[in-house]
Amino acid sequence: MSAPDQDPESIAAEALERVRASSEAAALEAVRVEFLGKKGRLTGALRALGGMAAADRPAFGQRVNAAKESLEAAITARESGLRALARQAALSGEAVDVTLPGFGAPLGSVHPISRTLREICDILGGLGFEIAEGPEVEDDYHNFEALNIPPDHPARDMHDTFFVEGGGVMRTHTSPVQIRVMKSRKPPIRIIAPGAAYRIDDDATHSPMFHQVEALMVDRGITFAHLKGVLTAFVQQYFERDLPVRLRPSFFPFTEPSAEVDIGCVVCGRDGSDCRVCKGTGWLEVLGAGMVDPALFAHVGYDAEDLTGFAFGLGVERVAMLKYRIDDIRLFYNGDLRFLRQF
Amino acid sequence: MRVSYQWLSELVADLPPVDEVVRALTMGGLEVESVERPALTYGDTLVIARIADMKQHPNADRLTLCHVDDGSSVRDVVCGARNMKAGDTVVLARPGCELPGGVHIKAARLRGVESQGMLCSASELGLPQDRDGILILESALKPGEAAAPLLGLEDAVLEVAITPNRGDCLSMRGIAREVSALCRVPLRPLPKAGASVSNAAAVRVTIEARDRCALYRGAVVRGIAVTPSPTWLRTRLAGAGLRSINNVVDVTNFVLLELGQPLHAFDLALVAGPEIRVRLARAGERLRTLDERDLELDADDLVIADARVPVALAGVMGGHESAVSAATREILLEAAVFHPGGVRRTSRRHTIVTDSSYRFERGVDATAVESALARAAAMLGDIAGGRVDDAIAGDGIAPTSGARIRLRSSRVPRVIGTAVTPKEIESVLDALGCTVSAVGEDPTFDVLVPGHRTDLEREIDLIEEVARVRGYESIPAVLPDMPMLPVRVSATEKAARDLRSLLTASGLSEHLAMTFATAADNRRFPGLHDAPEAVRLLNPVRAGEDELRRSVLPSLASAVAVNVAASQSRIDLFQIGSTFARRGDLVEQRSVLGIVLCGPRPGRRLGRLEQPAFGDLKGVVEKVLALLAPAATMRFVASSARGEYHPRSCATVQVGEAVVGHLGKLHPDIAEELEITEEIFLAEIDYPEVVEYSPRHQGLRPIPRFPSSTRDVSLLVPRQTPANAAVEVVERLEDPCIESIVVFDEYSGAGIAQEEKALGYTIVYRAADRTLTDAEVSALHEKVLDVLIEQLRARVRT
Repeated sequence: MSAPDQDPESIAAEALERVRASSEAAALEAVRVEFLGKKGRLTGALRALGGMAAADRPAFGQRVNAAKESLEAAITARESGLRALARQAALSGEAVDVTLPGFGAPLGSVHPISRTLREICDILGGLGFEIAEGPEVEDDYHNFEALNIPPDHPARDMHDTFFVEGGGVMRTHTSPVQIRVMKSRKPPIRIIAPGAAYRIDDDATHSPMFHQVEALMVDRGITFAHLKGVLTAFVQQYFERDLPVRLRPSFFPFTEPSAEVDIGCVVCGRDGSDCRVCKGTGWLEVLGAGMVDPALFAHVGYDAEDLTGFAFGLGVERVAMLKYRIDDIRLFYNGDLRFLRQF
Repeated sequence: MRVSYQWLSELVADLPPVDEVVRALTMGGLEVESVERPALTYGDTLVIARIADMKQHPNADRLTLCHVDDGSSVRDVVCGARNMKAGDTVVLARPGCELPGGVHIKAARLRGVESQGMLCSASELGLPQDRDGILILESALKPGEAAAPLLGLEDAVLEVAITPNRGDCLSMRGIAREVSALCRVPLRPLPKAGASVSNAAAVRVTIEARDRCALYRGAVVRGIAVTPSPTWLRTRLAGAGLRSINNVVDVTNFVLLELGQPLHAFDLALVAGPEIRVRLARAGERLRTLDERDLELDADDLVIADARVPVALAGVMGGHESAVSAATREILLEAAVFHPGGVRRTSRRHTIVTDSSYRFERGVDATAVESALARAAAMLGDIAGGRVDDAIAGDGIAPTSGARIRLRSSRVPRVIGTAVTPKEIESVLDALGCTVSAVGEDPTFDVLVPGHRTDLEREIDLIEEVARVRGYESIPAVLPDMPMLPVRVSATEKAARDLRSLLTASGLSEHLAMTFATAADNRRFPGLHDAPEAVRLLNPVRAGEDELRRSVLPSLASAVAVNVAASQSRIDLFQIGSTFARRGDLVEQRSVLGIVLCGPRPGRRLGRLEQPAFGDLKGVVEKVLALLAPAATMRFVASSARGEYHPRSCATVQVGEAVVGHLGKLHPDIAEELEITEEIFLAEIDYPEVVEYSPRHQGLRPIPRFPSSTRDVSLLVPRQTPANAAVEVVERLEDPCIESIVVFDEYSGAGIAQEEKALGYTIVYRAADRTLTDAEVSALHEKVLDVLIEQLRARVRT
């Protein structure tokens, strides 16, 4: 009987040393074949079992198996270690500069007037006002007469009107939509009329074409207090803070009582006596409002005893100029991307 | 209107301070737009003085030494002016006085003589200077009297915006009434003046056009001396922004400012008859106005005529021939009520707006015509030495009050939303000068409105007054209880919102332009309208821009020019806006989407800029169509018929036979005319029409269960064959096993004959119910190729 030339532990120790020294997959495979293959040295060690006393066999067998397992584990671990190193080397060769710009066009911008109109319509939409529309080339009846502005009335001075060849005018406000809606629907009415309007005026704060949103609510039991409530809710929502709102008596032919609506100056916060925007008054005029004049109800065939309503109209450019601190209205219309891209 | 605080204080007792008056007026609906406050106070440092005597300055040729009586002493004052003489009444600034412009007056030796003050010129006092030299006033003024109040130097002037309904506030008396009602302070009574109409009057008055003139009164004042006005009167007019003319004209202007009643003075000697006829102008009549314009009168113009010819344009302006002059001795003073609309028409027709026409348009107080006339006549007696005839000439009956209105107190809270007691209602109306009596239940008020409130005619007018005078701040803000109703957003509005998201995500920015266009714009870019004509404006604001645009494309092209000038790259813009055209009496308005792509934009490779191509534009348009009408079949058809586009780089977008848009490269001729050197690509889409064509979703198609087979083929076709031709041929086969055919390549050039091009297609075959065998697919593909070869005159490229 021949005793094993070497004990399994020292064979394993030699193998482990070779594993550690291997720096590529092929070398590891060679170690595996030399020690763990069918004719491998550790496999061969088992053959010595035949020459051993029966009592020694189990213990020796266990020692050989333990040595094989530890070698197997070491080879596997070394393999995955080598793979990780190889992946790492590959990845570091694929570095990108993350600060380079992304592909494709950058986001374009929605025009500040569209954006403002949308915000206004969304806020009032949330209060139940539905969008209504009317033509920009209007007839005298809808733009003036039905709104209680008869011919030869000095209120027409408030509307420097564009006249259209062959009859009609460019609407001077979006208020004619009120008449069109009331003529075609029964109350309750709760609408807004956003859109373009036209007056002959052309300077840093007036544009011959501008935008308005007109709101109209008609039902039984609607009062001036409701007008104040809706306006306050709207203004505070739009300018996103608890701005004070002030109503001053005024005159519009189609509302009575009528009011100009002022908000606390959004620029100086009401403390700057030299504020250019509010001229030191602390107040900014933002819209006109009032209770629907009963004369309008007569024009559209509503019962003025039974129904009341309110209307208000605001200049979209005006509020956009306040919100974005724009001091020249003409910037809105010339298409300069240096302006547009800021929105 | 300019309102002198000092003048106001003479009309209202216990007038509150300036700031309180400003607040009360503004919150009462008479917005104070600005306040001019006095910069300086003078006290007794600026006084009236009389030149006792004067002599040459002993040491200076150009200076005069004056002995000046300032009421308390006679002092020496050295003066450089030469326009004064002994006995003249002047303004003396005593040592210690500060004048406008930071001039401090001190006693000083001038060439060896002590000067104890300064004689002031108008400009040194900050007043308009109508003559050189020091200011010389009328001798009626007393030395020692404070000069500043007399000259209005310490006055605050309020600029008050008067809304068109408040003609009654276009006077000092009107403002005083408002202050009285809003601040609850008493109004001072007017000086009593009265006279009665009589047939014994020296002038006969006849109103012929009674619908245009309700009331006409004339007073004759004799023995007038036309002279400059006294200082106080000049000061009043200056505070209101009017120039002094002479005492007669100034008195009529003063009463207009004080009471709001326009007046006119005729030289009685120049009124033929003497007779006044208030009538419409006759054909061919002319009038030379005070400002010496020769007017051709219209048959709708109301005139004041004498026995022969028109002598004034009623309510607007007097005539030149009958005007008061230095030679005038007897005048006829007119006070009347003319129809507001009629005055407005005449004023606009002849483009003459006067203080008089402005007030008549807004309504004057018919109950106060006679008292205003009497007031003016009496003033002429005082100031111009006139004697007023006892008998007043006139026609028409003067009313005694304004409208009579019923006001139900229960109606007030139904409009304003807050409770108001009947007592409070009564108190407000009373403060406004109404005569109020309660009748019946509720109670209802019977309200007699004062004559000046021509705007109060209906119950709602009184409700507004109650709300206004109580103050809007006393009305609470309450959100209404509202029924839940769905808020619908129209398909067009929704499409516009979606388009903004899509296009901005695609890198385009939104442009908004005015809808005005030039005739050339509309000729070049006829837009999507079938209607033949453009809509034209009669009074454009900018020369040349006298039409409404038919297309949004010109404004996109000009935005390109703006941005090229500003050195911007990637000028990709869109616009959603209205376009207009006319067919006969009908104006057609459309909402359209316009797109422009211009200028180099970054490609895939850094630093590699690419010019846009037709395909870039088509890609955007395809997304637009897919967004708005996902299931609709749209076709791009080459078009050379549209003049605004390059004839070989333009397509129309069609649904069936209907054209819903077009796109292409701007025609180089137009680019040249517009001085645009870049290539620009434009598209215009009638997006509401596209939405119209959008079919409803047809329900889900099953996801295929069996695999597909794909075959690629390259065809050589005649050069002008569009890529889509093969697609259309294959689609027409309607073979259930052909799933799709897509073009993946287009090539011409080396290796391809001049008159041909190569098109590569991928065809996908699939059956719904089984896996197609290779043999089946090959057989089908052979069949497809045969059809393509035959119908397209194609060859398979190998």
